[in-house]
Amino acid sequence: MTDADGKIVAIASDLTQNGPFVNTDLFEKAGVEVPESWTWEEMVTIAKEVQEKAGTEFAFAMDKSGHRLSTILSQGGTYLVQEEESSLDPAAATTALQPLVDMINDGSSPKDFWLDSGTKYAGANEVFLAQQVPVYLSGNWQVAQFEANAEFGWTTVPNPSLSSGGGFPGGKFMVGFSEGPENQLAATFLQFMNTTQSQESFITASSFMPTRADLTESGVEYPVRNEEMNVFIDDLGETPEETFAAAYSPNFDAAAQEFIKQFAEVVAGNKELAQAMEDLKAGIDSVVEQAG
Amino acid sequence: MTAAAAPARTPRRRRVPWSLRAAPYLFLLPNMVIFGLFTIWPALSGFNISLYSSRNGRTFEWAGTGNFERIFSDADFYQALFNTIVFVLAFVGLGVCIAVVLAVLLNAQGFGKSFFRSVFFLPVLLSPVVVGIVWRWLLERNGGLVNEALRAIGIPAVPWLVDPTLAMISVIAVSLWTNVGFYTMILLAGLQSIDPNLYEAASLDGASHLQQFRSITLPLLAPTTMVVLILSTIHGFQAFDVIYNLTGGGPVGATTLLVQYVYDNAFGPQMQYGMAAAGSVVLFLIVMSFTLLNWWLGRRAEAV
Repeated sequence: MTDADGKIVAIASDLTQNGPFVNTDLFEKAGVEVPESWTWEEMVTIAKEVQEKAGTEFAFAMDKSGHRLSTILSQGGTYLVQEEESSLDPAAATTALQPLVDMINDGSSPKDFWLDSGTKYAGANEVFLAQQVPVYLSGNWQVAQFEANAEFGWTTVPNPSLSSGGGFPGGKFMVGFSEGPENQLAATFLQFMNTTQSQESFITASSFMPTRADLTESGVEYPVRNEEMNVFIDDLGETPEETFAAAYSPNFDAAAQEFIKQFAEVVAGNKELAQAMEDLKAGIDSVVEQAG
Repeated sequence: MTAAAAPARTPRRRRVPWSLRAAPYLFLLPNMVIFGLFTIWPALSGFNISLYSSRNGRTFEWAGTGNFERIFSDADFYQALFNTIVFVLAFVGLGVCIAVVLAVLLNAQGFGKSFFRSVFFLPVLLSPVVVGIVWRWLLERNGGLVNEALRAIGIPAVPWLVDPTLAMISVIAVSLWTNVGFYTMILLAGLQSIDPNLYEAASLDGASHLQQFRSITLPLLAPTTMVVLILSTIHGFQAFDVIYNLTGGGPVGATTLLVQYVYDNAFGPQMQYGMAAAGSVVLFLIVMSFTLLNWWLGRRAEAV
């Protein structure tokens, strides 16, 4: 991450990727094969088939988060923000999100979930762990938790594609304060933590993804769920570069919160999706303007 | 003149020694210092911050009345204001009535007095976070105990927390459940200070229970009721913790009150400390007006 003069102000220390988890036991019970890849339409059809045949409460679940919703936007070819600019295409967003809205309205995706906790973040991992849903869109940070707590078979599948595929990134940065009393020590520590060896130790222990080019190229062997982690890493290849400019924009968090607010209005039946996306664009424009 | 014969001039001290006069203030001093440091000074500081704009709590830019202008043109603010007024009217209105009734019943209770008093007071002692979370589970549309109980008697699932009106009702009900015990205890103390001879005299004169309640209990309870009114009003305006854990301010802002509005502005992704402080100032002015109004009405009633 660099400032306006191209000076590095933070080191990307690990990467996360959004993507779907599937409950293989439920798929087996329904007699449906887990696909190697799928489009959004195929995913919805398959998920509903498993829901019907395996008798689960829902077909598809997702965390209540502007970040997760942005995955769908990206697959539809649009983004909330790019760097400092507001960049949403309301028409593309409407097309991208319509399948999810339809699923919420017909009951195949949890509806109350979007309304009963205000603007607070809510994860749908409990719904997945309770085996109430066969397909759950979240991200690789859930791998360690599922490995410990899931009492069923599960795996990951590449993201469904709309106009394009791929997921949406997240991750963490490390920052040292140049005016701090121990700035030299901080710099040394940052350097140490991001060497090949250190980063590899850290990410294999925590089920995160590498940011170092050499690790991405050579590949990483994960002790926990190596195959699943590599599905996420491979999906990075499908993920458009614009997603990074969106995810790491200084205005992303505020834009994401606007997103949740507008989406909740649609779920509550107060607005049509198309109108909400127009209002969202206006909201993001004002967020970007206020940020200055 | 011997020393013994010298008149011991013991001036009958009409004036209290300074150490005795200073004593009350010295006793108050520790509390006033803490109060001043942790309540008065931050409040004044908050008033100051409301005139600035800050995105990080460290650098402040002068904004003058800018924050207030933004608040008064923010639709979310008016929604929070409306929700707060609705909540306070219901909470205070119902709360005081229920508390008076409970206090009268508890006062008349023959057996198991302590048990019943504990039962009603217990929710007051619970952590508001726990209250919010547990009631959330109870009121969940699918699988919550309340709806399961209704289902057993044939009533379909009620969307307690996801329908805007029902969510507000739920929030008011849970807040009442949590707090009414406190006001009941205060009123109970007030009731017990009423001379029982008055009731005896009244029944000898042939007054019914209802007449006694209206003519003896209510008027003599008025000062205590006034206290409860003011406390519950302030409490109502401050409502945040139970609601935030129960509904998060949802659905879509239907149960977002003013304190949460301030909180969201201060700690949301777009941190705006200046605007949050300005929101607090507005809240302060509203609560102050209501309290003064309450007090003034009470004074007039007393005079009559």
